[in-house]
Amino acid sequence: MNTIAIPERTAREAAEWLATLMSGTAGEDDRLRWRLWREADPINEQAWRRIENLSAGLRQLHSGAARQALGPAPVHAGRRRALGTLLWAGAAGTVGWTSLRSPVGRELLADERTATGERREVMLADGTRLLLDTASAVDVRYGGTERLLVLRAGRILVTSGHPHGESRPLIVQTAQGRARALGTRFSVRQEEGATTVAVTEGAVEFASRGGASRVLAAGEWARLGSAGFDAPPRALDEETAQAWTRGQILADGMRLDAFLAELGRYRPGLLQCDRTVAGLRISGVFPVADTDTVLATLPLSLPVQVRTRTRWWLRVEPAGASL
Amino acid sequence: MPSADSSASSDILRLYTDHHAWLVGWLRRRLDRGWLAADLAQDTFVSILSAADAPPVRAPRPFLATIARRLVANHYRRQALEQDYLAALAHLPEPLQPSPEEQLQAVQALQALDRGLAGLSARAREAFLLAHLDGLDYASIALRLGVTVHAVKKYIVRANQACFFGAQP
Repeated sequence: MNTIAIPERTAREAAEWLATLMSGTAGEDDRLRWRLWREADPINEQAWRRIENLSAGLRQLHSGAARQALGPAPVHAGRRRALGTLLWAGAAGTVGWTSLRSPVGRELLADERTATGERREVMLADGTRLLLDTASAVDVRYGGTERLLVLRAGRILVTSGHPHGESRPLIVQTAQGRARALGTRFSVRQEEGATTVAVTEGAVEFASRGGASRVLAAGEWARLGSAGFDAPPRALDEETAQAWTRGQILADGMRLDAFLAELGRYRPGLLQCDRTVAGLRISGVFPVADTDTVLATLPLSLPVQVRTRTRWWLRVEPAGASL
Repeated sequence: MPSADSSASSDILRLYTDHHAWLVGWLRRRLDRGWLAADLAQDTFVSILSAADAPPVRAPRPFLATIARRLVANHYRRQALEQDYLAALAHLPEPLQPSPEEQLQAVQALQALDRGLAGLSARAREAFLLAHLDGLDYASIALRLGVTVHAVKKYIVRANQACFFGAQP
């Protein structure tokens, strides 16, 4: 147990910083001021450490089960009506909010991050450009011997810069390994338990933590799991692989469950796929900026219906399934 | 002042040597498992050591008992939280099996929420849970609660402070 007493004022400031960074609208200058605040006093850093430690536990919590264990909020007479019934329906549900993770933690504490549904381009000091996909987070750790980007979550497209006299290698690190740019444009995606690298220009050396490595040429991609590479580098369908950089999902006979998983990355809440329709195939170009419309038009091309449980919980089911 | 520090720690040392055995006995009568008494007695002294105030010279036993009583209550509350949480996990359509380490982290976080959220308004509590557990953004939370985004942020600040920096056990 961390027993260092945090002064009230520091606790308040830390709580405010956390709320600002969680808002998803924190800008570059907010992040800079936040970093300065942490460095300004060891007790500030100490307070932030406490947030990080406890956040690790928060990330473990299953929302529905945690709500059950905590029990309903103590209701003060005057407030009950104002809260409305929807809130209580959500709070009381045991399975209402499954498999969502707290945004606090690695993603939140990263140098650059995007909110769900956001895509953003960042220009780094050496001219390297990063395009961050939805719900992505990356730390920029440029040092004396290497230009290190640590991908915490989501996906980035890297277009490496080559300022005159720059000799430090550009490296993207993930939970599974490292991708070293050999002069180039490539994307790195951190998924659960695996990393995918796709190269569109130049080449990339992709190495696992265990030391296995592959050189990917332009037009190739590879996937690295915790057990190593699952296959030799494969040919890249560039159109499909780059669609996200234009804010699109390009599906060509894609399984519906895979499609919904992809679409779900661009919207808050939960998007589920009923097992009986998971294997249906879908084709088309879908804009991720308007996921509501994409979902609304699904029944036009597939024998499915979208059931809205709450605004944040949708389920795609076979058409005609009883409500 | 170093002299004050060393006199405080020698006070605690005396408290420990004089009353540790008594405290273990006192705890054993209140707990269903013997080994727990030794643990919580230890925790009581650790808690005094890390507290800002020096222990009182007079009436040390009621002082120790007050702290120990709080730790016993915490222990049972923690046990109840853990059991309820695991039971709820087991009843999910696809039950989750957290590793012992994940479970420990989760229960510690639950405890912090349990303590921190207790003193908050229902809206601040809900805003915190929706943001931290469900990953909703402030605009979505504002919609759900029927308040402004600005108000959501104020709730979150208050709840963050209470949960991350509330009273330690």
